[in-house]
Amino acid sequence: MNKTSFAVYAESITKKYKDVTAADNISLGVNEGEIYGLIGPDGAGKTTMLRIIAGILKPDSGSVYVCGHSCDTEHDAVKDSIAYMSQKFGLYPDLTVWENIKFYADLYGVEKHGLKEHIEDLLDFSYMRPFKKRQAGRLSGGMKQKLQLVCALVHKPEVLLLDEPTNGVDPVSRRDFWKILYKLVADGMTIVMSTAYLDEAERCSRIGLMNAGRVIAEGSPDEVVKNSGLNMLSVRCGNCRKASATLKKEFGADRVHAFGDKFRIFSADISADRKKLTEMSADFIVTDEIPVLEDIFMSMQKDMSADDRILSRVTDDIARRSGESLKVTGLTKKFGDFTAVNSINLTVPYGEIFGFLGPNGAGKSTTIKMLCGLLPPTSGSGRVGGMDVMKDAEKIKASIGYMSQKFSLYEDLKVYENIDFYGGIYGLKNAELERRRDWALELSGLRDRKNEMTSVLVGGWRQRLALACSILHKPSIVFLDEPTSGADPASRRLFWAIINELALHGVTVFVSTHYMEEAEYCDRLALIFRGEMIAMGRPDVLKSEMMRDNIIEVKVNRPQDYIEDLTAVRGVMDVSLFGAGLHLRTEDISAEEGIAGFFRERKISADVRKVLPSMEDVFVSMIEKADPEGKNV
Amino acid sequence: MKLLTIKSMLKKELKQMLRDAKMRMIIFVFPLIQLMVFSFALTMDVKNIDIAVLDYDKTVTTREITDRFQSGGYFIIKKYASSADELRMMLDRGDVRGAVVFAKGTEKKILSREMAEVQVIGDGTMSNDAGTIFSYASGVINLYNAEKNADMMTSEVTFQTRSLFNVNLLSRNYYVPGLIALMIMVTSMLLTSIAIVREKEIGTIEQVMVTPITRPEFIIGKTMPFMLTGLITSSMMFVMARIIFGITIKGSILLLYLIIIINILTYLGLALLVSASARTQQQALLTSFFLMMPSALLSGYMFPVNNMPTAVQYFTYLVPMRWGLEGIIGVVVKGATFHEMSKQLMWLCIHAVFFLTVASIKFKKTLE
Amino acid sequence: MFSPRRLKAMVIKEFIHIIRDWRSLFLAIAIPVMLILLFGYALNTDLKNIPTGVVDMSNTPQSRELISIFDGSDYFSVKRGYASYEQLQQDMRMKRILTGVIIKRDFADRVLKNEETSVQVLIDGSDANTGRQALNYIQALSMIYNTQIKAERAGLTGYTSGGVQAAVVPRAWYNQGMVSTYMIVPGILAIVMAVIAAMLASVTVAREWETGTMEQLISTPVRRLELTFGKVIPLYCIGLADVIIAVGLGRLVFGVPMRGNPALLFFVATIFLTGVLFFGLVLSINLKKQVLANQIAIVTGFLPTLILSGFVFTIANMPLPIRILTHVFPARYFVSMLKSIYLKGVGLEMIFLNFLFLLIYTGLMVLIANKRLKMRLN
Repeated sequence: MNKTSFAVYAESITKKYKDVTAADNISLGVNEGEIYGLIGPDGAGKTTMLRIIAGILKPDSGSVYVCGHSCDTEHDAVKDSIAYMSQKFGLYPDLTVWENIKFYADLYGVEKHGLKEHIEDLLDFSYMRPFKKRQAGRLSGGMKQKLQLVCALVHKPEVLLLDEPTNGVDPVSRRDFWKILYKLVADGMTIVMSTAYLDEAERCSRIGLMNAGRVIAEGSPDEVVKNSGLNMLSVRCGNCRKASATLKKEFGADRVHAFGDKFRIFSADISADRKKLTEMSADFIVTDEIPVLEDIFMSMQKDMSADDRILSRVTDDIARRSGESLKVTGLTKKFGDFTAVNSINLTVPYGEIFGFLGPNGAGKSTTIKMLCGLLPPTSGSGRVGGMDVMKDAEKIKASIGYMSQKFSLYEDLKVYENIDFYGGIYGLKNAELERRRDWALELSGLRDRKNEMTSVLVGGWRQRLALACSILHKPSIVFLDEPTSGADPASRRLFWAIINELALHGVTVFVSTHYMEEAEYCDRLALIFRGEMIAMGRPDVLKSEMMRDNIIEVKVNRPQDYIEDLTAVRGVMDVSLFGAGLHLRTEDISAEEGIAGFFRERKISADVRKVLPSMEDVFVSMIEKADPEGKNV
Repeated sequence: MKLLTIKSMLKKELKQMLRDAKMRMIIFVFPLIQLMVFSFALTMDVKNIDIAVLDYDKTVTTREITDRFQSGGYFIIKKYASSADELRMMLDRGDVRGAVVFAKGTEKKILSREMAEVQVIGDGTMSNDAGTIFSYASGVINLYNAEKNADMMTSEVTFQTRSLFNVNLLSRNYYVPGLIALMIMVTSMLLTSIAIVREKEIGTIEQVMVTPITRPEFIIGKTMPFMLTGLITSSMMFVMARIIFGITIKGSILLLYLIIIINILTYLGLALLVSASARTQQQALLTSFFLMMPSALLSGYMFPVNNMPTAVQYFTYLVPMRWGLEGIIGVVVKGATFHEMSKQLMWLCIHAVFFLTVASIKFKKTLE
Repeated sequence: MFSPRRLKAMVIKEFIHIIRDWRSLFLAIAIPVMLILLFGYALNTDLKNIPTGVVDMSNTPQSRELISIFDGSDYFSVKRGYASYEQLQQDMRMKRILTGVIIKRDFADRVLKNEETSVQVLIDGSDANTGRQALNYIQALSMIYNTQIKAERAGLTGYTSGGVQAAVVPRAWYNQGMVSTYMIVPGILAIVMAVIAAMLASVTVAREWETGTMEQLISTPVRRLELTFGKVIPLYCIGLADVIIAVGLGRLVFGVPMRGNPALLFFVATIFLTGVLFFGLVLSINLKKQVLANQIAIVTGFLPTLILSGFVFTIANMPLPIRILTHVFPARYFVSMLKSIYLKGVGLEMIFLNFLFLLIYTGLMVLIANKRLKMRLN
């Protein structure tokens, strides 16, 4: 390979931290003008790789060239030609949007003449002009990420390095973010990014699939999937939870995975397995499936029995309850003039998984905080676990579990010390504490790592430990505020299996999330926007009844090129990126023909078909209905 | 109030505090080192005073007086200046701290029993030292006069002075216990002032507050570790004062600890108040520094309360360190009893109760 | 290559941080003002009105005359009505009085009979410094009193003095009235700058590491020098504002003379401030944690500057090892130079050695800060 023909070229990179190998002899080349995605489970070495390319981390051996410059000897030239966006929010919260951008423009020495116009352009381009005087700390999560991107773009870099740029960002903002990325690529920029969202991975020109410090597969997402040699079947059925046990028994736990409202099964012999399934139950609707990236993630996980062991212990000691766990009416919270939550009514029985969806800053966290007694409501009434929300906040706390949005364990304590601490303040002692500590270590999969400092944990382990700590005292109601943000797909899956187990045992689980496929796992959903509950119901009901529009899916190469032209097709209301393709919202079915015609005329091969709306479609269309001008997203 | 909850809070705080080797240094070793160094440094005992002599007279008498300056024990004659300019230069440069100037005709005046003036110059940039230099110089001259006039002495009224509690008026007997009082304030204020604001910054406070832990439990859990370390360091400091400086505790040790405990409580209350109202750790630290500095200065440690204007003297009632200092000096140096320390104890209690209550109220508000 | 534009961008950014955190800014300015006012108005070491308890067993015109000499002086304020030695001692323990005078029953008789007699004076020695001052005053009073008696006797017997008389004529150069404010204002300047500046600087880099902005920053072309000076310059401005406030207040409110060249003073202050700020930066860079860096800045700044700089306690009076140690703290050189410039009005040539030491310290700190600042993760 010729190092200068690539935008980014890494040659046998190795990086070790103490006893962990974060990069093990990695070589990769990124072509000019492509989006290259680094995909892989937590701790695979994605961040390390991006840092090495950005030149802020020195590899133990190997070399990196960016635009032909060596990161080692021509560090300054490299810095001038790249922009790097770290995973943590890297901007100054007390500086305004404008001040942050100006700061980076000056650091990069952007031509002063016309700088103002350039920044204004960037602000328009990212739809952030109205917020230019706002302090960065007061922006919503999605806007913070966009601002960080704008700061990175201010010097027109040739290579853009993004480390999980859309973590914790809601779907609407995520779509905006991708529109920007596509525009940049169209202008010839090269993007190297890591992401935990697989629909984003599918949009990359090429991906590098990483595991344990190695790139195990490389190519376009389709190639990676094709080369994996996996065969899939899916099963849809009436009562999914019950079916799970039967399927796992029959096919082995490693091969069966819940996926939205269906099960996906790794199959070595498709026809035999299909036959077996149809014989098992008449309720089963069995279909052949093309494998997707997530399947590869699941197949990478070697020891599924560990997951089962964890799941079998989730509900140790938890008493089953039934009836109404929570009922509130007119719950309102005002901060000065600002109404954060406006008159929310909810009734939730024990054993239900209740999901909160909504854009960043819509009032989800505030609602959750009121329900668990952290914030006194301004007005309203109701009971949580039988206790009055207004008067008995302290008593409520004893019967609920809460996991906050931020990672809320003490990083300077060891794993078991965190457990002991929370156990202690929940009043567990001696034998009981011992038992629950053991349980918590099992649940978080940290039995062998209990003496490690909490600060070294990554992704899924962290979150499971936080969850374990928050339910040490066996609460009958659990609140989880964006518990899976940033975790890899396999950990998220396990996390949801745990939630499921809890619900099966009568525990009410409130959960907020930005992953729309996770919303499908909930029994009921509430969509919160600007402090109001704009929709509530079962996921399937929301998809069928609340969503009157039709969704046409288009699979085509470079879908981003057609967004604008397709908007002009008769009957098409909205076009948006979805996975690797496009979703078009139309008034009626007839538009499908028009869309197919659009591609025929241009002699482009495209797969156009009507699909059931996904949760993301529902979410976006509802938000757009509630806020047609897109002001508050 | 559950003991178990407090115990877990305590354990957690202690672990967090003592895990880092650097932090252990700050908590346990730094106060001792500081006590060592400062105890030696803190002294108002003026000695080894370098002076210059400018003798215009150059006679036997002036040389005799000069010798007396040299042999008196306080002064060291560094140089004989030859001119006023040279003298000024030496003082300007700070080579000497004072000078003795004999005018022409000094001997003649003394022999003829006239009043002879010996000019003594002190460097007024250290006004304290200058004062001491003058009084030492007067001592030298008075002794000279007295010896020369021994035959003429008549009976008179003598003032038999006796210094109580500290017979030889050794500075260190005062400065060392006082320094301990000061270190108690510094060590217990600084770390505590970031206790709550730190959890706010990281975000862990939310997770803790959603547990059934009550406010008093949380506050006790947050402060007790600092009480513990405070008691340990002050004990170590007293042991060191005993071993190195030979300072014994004249009064009751029990009473001493009572005073220290209430005093630490006051500081903890004050620090919590700072912590609960600050937004960032930096703010908390700056604020506690803002409070500590005047406390140290108005406590009467280096600047006696008696010297202050009346209004300020009343203001010092509000300075916790004043009572801590008076209490510790009272018990350690003077051997005061519980009854004799009742005023100090009363004020300490008032401070402790006040600050802890306000901190607890403020803490509640910050959560909402 | 060093880019002035990047430096300017850093400086502006840091300024905004400071301005937006108005509370810290307020404290940084308020602390020196408070200290100067405190020292100027409230604090001084010149003892006056020492509360004095008197046990007057003689209770005669003669004893009352003695007491009135005490009471009449500025130094003592007399409380009568004590019955016994024990009572005096108890009040002394309770800190109600600092000295006690016991006049014996036969005092008047013996004075009238021209016999030798004594008056017992008790001094609270627990505060040795105050005690020693009281002792000095009492010695002076004793002389006055005896001269007075002698004069009375001389009047009676016609005796005249004819002994050797030499007297000390004291002259306090640079500070004729021996006003302690004069020496304190320059001292405060040093303390405030040493502590505030080191404290503010000690969090700057650590905060960026803790919040994660540092990772972003080092991926840009910003250079070490731009980063360190960008952080220091705004804080330098605050420090300079503190200097101006302190000098101004000292001059306007307390009339502290400024005999030397103000430009020299600011020049020296600049060197000192730079050194201290970079010291804070060194802490911040090495420790990477705000709390730790800040603690150390205070521990190594506050008390050492107060005690070891020669501001309140004269360095020459300290034992040799401590005197050597004081050379480590730059405040020592600064305080000494300040006093010289302020009160002695000397030029740079007179304080050259101190200046040289300070310069070396500052240069060292700038060097270490830039050497230790890592522009990569590890």
